[in-house]
Amino acid sequence: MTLSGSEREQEERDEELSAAARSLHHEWDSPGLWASIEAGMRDLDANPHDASTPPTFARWQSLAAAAVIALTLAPTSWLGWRWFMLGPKPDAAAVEERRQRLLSEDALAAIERSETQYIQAIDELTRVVAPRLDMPDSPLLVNLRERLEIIDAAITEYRAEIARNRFNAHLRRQLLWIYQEKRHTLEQIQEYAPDAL
Amino acid sequence: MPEAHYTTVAATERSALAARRIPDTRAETDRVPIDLAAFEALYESHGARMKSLALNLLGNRSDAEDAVQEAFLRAYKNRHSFRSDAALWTWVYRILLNACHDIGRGRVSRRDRQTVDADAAAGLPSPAGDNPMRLTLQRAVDGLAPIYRDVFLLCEVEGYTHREVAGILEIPEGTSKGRLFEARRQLKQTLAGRGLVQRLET
Repeated sequence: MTLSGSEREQEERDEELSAAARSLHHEWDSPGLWASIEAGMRDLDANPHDASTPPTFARWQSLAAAAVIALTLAPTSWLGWRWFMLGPKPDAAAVEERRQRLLSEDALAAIERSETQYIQAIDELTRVVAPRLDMPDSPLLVNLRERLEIIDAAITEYRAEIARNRFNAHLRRQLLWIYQEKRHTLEQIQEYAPDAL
Repeated sequence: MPEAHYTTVAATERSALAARRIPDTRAETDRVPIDLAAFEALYESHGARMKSLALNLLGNRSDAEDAVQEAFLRAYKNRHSFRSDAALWTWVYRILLNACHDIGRGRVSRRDRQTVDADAAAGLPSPAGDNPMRLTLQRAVDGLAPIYRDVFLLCEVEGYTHREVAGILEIPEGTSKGRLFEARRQLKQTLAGRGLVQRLET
């Protein structure tokens, strides 16, 4: 089987790499190494528990070193723990509240847009019936005008409250109900005096 | 020159096996007790390559010798837990690799190249004629992940077969081949980036 040019080149590079790798093999004399190993083995034979159980002195040294490390690290660890527990880390409840608040703001913005459109429609209706209300020619229209004045006063009061607490859903529901009353009253004016408009 | 070296090592191993009856196969392991003499025979046959492997993993002869000593002592201490269905030498090699990794982790100087250079200057019989090239390859090998580096060193540097490497690392033979392929690919890529692949010659 003949090799293509690139395959031959690849093979040559592999051979070069292998040849270079063999140059990493090192040999040197270590006259005392086996003697040292043998001595260690004989020590293990003589004291079979030595290797598994450290000598008492060594064990005390280890314990002392561990104690020093623990004492050194304790203040740092304590400060770190305090910082972790008491430091300015984000509170889960606050995060959730902020998340809910962001959602509420989105919802509130949508509500306020709807309210604005609703109020604009009612204001337009108010302008339509306003000439009739300026000169009411029947007790019914007088009553309806007085009713509208009460409603407008309530609207002003509720809007002032809502300005202080934009997220109060109860106030907003009440305001919406008042606007519905205003619309209903305006529709009554429109219905009961059609020939005057 | 490297082939001649391997031939010499192989011949030494064969003679050592014949003379000392190293438990190199299952049958021999079953028959021959693992005593101090068996470990001595193992040191005679594999010690040179064990030291070389440790040197390439640790970077200086002192650490390498410590690792070899540690491996033999760990093996001797735990010889009763040695499974007789494996070869003793592959087991000791596995312990050696673990010892090297332990020492490598425990010592700050992961690889002291100056020490290796000093070793070479002091007369370390290296077959490499071009030290800068050897050091460049050595650094590239250092950059390999341990699973690739171990296989590369065992196969390409120390000359063990994939079967033997598989026995040492307790991996399938195909895995050994795959790791060597990947090691070579990474090395060629690294060395090509330095424009050295064509100049790597012994």
